[in-house]
Amino acid sequence: MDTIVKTTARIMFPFILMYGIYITLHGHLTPGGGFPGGVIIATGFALLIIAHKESRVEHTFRQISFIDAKSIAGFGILLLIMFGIFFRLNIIQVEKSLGILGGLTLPSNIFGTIMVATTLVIIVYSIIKE
Amino acid sequence: MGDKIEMFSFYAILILLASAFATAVIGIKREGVAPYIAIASTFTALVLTLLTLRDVIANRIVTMQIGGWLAPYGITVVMDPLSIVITSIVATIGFFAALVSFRFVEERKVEYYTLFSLIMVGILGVLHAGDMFNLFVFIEILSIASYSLVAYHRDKISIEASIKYLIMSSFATGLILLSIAFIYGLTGTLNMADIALKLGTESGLLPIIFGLLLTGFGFKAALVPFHAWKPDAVMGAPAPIGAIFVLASLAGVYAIFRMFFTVFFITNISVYYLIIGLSVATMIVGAILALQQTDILRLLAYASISQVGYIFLAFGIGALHGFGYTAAIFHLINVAIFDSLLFFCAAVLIHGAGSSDMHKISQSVRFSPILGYSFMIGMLAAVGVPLLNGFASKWIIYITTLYVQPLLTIIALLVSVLTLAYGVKAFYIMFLTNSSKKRMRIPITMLVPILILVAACVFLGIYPQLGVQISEFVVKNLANIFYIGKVFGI
Amino acid sequence: MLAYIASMLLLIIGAYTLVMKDNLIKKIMGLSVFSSGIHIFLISLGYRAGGIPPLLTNLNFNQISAIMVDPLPQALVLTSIVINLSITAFAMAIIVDVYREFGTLNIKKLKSLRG
Repeated sequence: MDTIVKTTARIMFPFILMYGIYITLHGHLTPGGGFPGGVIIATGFALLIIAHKESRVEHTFRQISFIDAKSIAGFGILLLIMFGIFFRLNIIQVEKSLGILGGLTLPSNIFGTIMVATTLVIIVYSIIKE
Repeated sequence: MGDKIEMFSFYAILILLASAFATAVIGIKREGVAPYIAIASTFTALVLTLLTLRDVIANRIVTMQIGGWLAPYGITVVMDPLSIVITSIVATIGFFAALVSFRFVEERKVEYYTLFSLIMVGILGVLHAGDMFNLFVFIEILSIASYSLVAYHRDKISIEASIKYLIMSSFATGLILLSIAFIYGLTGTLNMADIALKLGTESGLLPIIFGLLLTGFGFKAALVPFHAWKPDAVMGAPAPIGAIFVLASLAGVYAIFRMFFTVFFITNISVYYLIIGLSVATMIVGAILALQQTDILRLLAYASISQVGYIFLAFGIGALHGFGYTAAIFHLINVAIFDSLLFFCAAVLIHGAGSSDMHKISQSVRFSPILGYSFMIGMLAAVGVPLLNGFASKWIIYITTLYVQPLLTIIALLVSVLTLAYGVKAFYIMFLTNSSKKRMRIPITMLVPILILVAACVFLGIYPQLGVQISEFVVKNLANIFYIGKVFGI
Repeated sequence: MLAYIASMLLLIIGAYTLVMKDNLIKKIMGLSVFSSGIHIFLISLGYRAGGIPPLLTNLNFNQISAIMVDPLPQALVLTSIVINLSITAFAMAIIVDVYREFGTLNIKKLKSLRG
């Protein structure tokens, strides 16, 4: 790819990442949450993968850790679900007491984002690699 | 009711989901652990399901509101007798499939067992769903896991089967989503008990919605205009997954039953004639196309399509005239047992021969007589020979259709004869014209599930009162007054 | 009213492309358009005239909850969009394999399974 594309991708990458994290963390207050935040973060990674040779991206980010991160995030979501079911709390009270922090929605958003982002990056990486 | 009953079988879904993730993580470093995780988690699922079975027999319906949100607003998980009977069978056969896969799957085990756990999550989730949203999500989990399993072998047949299955199945799921949209527009809620309360019979949209749902779920259940994916998909997937596809079709049949008994009140009788017509076509097409097959997996796929047609015939008669549901439920139980038995026998045959073509199997390995007898008992149960379980349920179907329309009895008998024809053909080619000298021992983990299923066939055949008792227990509690009351906590 | 007409048009176009076109990638695109039609239909069911987005702030829940747009179909559509995304990604991976095995993307040439 062209030098302009490569340089622009490298400059834009942290901003895209920051935007995705912003959407995730505000998921309990504004539209968004886990899924769109994860997709945006994955778009940032996909931009890097398409602009540069994928071997460089692999060398920088090392694909195996993506699969580990996805499964750990999956465990996290399961833990949250079981937490919700076991305690059978009235979630409105929990959320109101924690106020702006968002209660159980915030860890759910974060785990969901990690899962979606890692999944999409693995998919894009595998398809480009062929 | 003030007493809180824990629903153990929902935790079975969570445990299977956790085992899917655990297999993916641990399988990166150590590949050999994957089968043991799957066997342990399906066994735990079976134990939890049997605990809930005891609860449902005592309390008639068990519900659980997730997260403490009350009924119309939150997610409800419901087990009534219809669900728990099918769930027990699914959990048992899932455990047996994990055992059979232990020796069958040699390479890329991590991928296989992860997808296996996910497909079990999908089937069990469909059976537990208390509202349409959950139903949709679990059907999608089931479908996506099955697309991957169909493409497992990565050769020409698997890839072609997978892409065709994917395109057709996504369209069918889109139709299910469209009907959920219509239901939401009419009633404003997605909880099944709430829909039953708010849905009147006067709307002209109801037959359209039920038709869309019948199309979508009929695709998953492999009814006749929508059956084209099943033989290719069963051929592309590994052989124990054929039994899981039978269970997935029964989950589709369960979804149609749930829509019919709990949610809808259709007064337009032409829908029932349509169901009976579809079921007759399913029985006939399944049996006729099974006669021409030379591949054992395709033959068994068409056989299972034909047997699901019987279940639908009994259901249609019951919908039109009020009796016949007992036959439908009993035949559903029997189909699960003998079709899984046939698929597990086929798995042993393919494992020994390396190919699923019947002529190649007959020329490659000589099997012990136990396998021959098991296969024969499975086929005779499908035909409806006395002393085996298929006879009892098919006899009830013959009697009920005799009262209503004797032409249907003649068709059902003819399809049984066709079943005998292709059963004898398969048995003859594979076992009686076996021209090889190499003997093979059946691995014990494959032998035990086959023998247990054979024993179940014979036991239900000699003592069909047990099957009829179970079916009547289901049918007596089908009226949705109990369902709605329990969900809303009255 | 316009939203319903648009969603029906998308459904028709998507179904036509899914069924009639021969190229596999065009079929997947048709599936995507069909799903978009269903999603637009579902979201426009929840519309309240003059509604505001269903965002909960601490101040005025009781006053504005009557004119909020319905959030339940939005949750259903979000789930469905993610599911369709994963199906499309999986279909693309399978299509790469189809091209490698068969050499063509025309569905009429995939004939190795008959009967």
